[in-house]
Amino acid sequence: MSFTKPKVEVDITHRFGDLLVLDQIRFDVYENELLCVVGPSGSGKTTLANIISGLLEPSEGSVKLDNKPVNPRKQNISYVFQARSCFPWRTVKDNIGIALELKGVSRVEVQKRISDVLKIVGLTGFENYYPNQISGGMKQRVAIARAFCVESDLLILDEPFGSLDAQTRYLMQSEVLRVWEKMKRTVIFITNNIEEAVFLADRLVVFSNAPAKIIKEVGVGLPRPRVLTHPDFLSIRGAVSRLSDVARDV
Amino acid sequence: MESLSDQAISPVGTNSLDPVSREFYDRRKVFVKKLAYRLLVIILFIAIWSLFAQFAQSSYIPTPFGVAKAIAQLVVNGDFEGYSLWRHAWASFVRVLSGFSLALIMGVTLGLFMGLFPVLYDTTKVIIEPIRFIPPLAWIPIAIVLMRGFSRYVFIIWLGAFFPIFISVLASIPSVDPILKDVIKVYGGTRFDIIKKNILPCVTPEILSGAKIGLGVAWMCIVAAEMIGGENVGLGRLILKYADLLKTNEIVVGMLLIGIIGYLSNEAMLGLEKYLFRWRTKITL
Repeated sequence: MSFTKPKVEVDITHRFGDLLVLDQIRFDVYENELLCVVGPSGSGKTTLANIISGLLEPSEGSVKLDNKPVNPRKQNISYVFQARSCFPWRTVKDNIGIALELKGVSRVEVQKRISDVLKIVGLTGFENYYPNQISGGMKQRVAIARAFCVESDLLILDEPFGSLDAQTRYLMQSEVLRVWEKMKRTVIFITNNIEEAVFLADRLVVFSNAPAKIIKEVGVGLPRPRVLTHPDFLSIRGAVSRLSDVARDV
Repeated sequence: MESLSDQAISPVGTNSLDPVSREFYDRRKVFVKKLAYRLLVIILFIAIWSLFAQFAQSSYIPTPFGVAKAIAQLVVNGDFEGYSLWRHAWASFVRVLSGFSLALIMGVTLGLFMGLFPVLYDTTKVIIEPIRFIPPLAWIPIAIVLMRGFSRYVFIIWLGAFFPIFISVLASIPSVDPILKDVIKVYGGTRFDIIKKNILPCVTPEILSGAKIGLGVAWMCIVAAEMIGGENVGLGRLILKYADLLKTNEIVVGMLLIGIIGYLSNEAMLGLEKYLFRWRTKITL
C-alpha cells in the first residue's frame, strides 16, 4: 500500500486568531483505507474535519485530494457531521436524497439509490417519516446514508456516534464497517473513543491535547470482525491509551 | 401528526373496527361534537344580545332580528345608492388582497436580502425604523393628496402589512442552522442552493406568522382608508354611509362581514400552515 500515491495528503497548521488549534498536522490517507483520527475532546478534531472537507481554509498549508487542492464544488466529498444534520422539513428519503440532488443526479436514479442505501442502513419502511418522528440513532443513520449514497472520493465522519448509547454505538460501528466493506470508500473517521478507533481503523493517527499535534501513527493489523475482548485488541488499545497519557503528562 | 405509539396505546376492547376506519370514526365524532358546541355558543350569544336589546328599548341599539333584516335588504336591494352587499365586500376584498400580496412579495424579498446582507439593513435602518413606527392611518391624508383611486387603498394596506412581514423575515435569518448550510456546501451546493434548500424553508414559518399579523393590520387599514377616501363602495364606506343615517343595524352588517372575511382568511392561512409544516410536532396559533 505504501508504494502507491496517497489519495489524501494533509499538511496544515490552523489558528483562530492568536489561538493555535492544529500544530503542523501532517498525514496521508490511501485509497479505500479507513483511517481513524483519535484525540481528546477539544483538541480541534472538528476543525480538522472542516478543513479536510474544504469548508474551512487552513491558516497554513493545504489539503490535497487526488493531488489537487480539496474543493467540494469540484470533487465528491461526503461528510457526516457531529451535530445533527437532518433537514426537519424533509422526509427521511428526501434528507438522504439532498446530496444526490445537489450533484445533479436524475430523479429516477436518485430514487433507485435511496432505496438501495435505505436497505443498507436499515431504514426501509421509514422513508416517509420526518426527522422529529424518528430516534436520534436513526437520524444519525440518515446522515450516514446520505454520505454513502454519493459516489465520493473521500468520506469524513466526525464523531458520528458521540451522542449514542454504548449498545447503539456498537451496532452502528458494525454497520459502518459493513457498509464500508460493501461500497469501498476512502474514509477518515474522527473520534475521541480509543476503543472505537481500534475497532474500526486500518490505521490510527493519535492527537495530543490542544493545540493538537500528532503523537504517533499506529497501524492496526487485526483481522475483522474484531473482538473487543481479544488479547491482541486489548494490547493495541492499551498502547494507544498510554500514548495519550504520556502526552498529557508532558 | 399521529405517531406510531398512539395507536398502540388505544384501549383494548374498543377496537372492533380496523384502525383506519376507527380513526376516521373517532375524528368524525370529535368534529360533530365541536360543531355542536360552536353552534351552541352562537345561539347563546344571539340570545344574550336580544335580551340586552330588549331591555335597552332604544331604536339605536342593533338587534339580531334587525341585523338579519338589514342583511336581506342589502343583499337583495343593495344600499340606498344601489350597491349590493357583495359589491361592497368584493371591493374591500380586492383592495386588501392587492395591497397584501404586494406587501408579501416585497416583505419577503427585502427581508431576505437585508437579512443576508446585514450591512444593508444596518445603514438604512435610520430611515426604515422611524417609518415603521408611523401608523398607516397617519399616511391617509398624504395618500389622499398624492394618489388617486385604487392605488391609494393599495398603498395604505401595503404600509400596514409590509412591516410585520419584513421584520419577521429579517429577524428569522440569524436563526438558520449553520450546520445545514455546511451540509449543502460540502455536497457541492451553490449559494443559490443554500437560499433555496435551507434558508427559504427555514423562514417560511416566520413568513406565515408575519403574514397573519399583516393580514389583520391590512383589514384595519382598509376600513379606515375607505372611510376617508374616495369611492362609494367598500365595507368601510358602507359603515360610514349608514353611520350618517344613524342606522346601526346596517353598520353592524358591515362590521360583521369584515370580521367573518378576516376570520375565514386567517383560517385558510392556518390550513396552509398545517399543510406546509406537517414536519413540525406542534402548530402555534
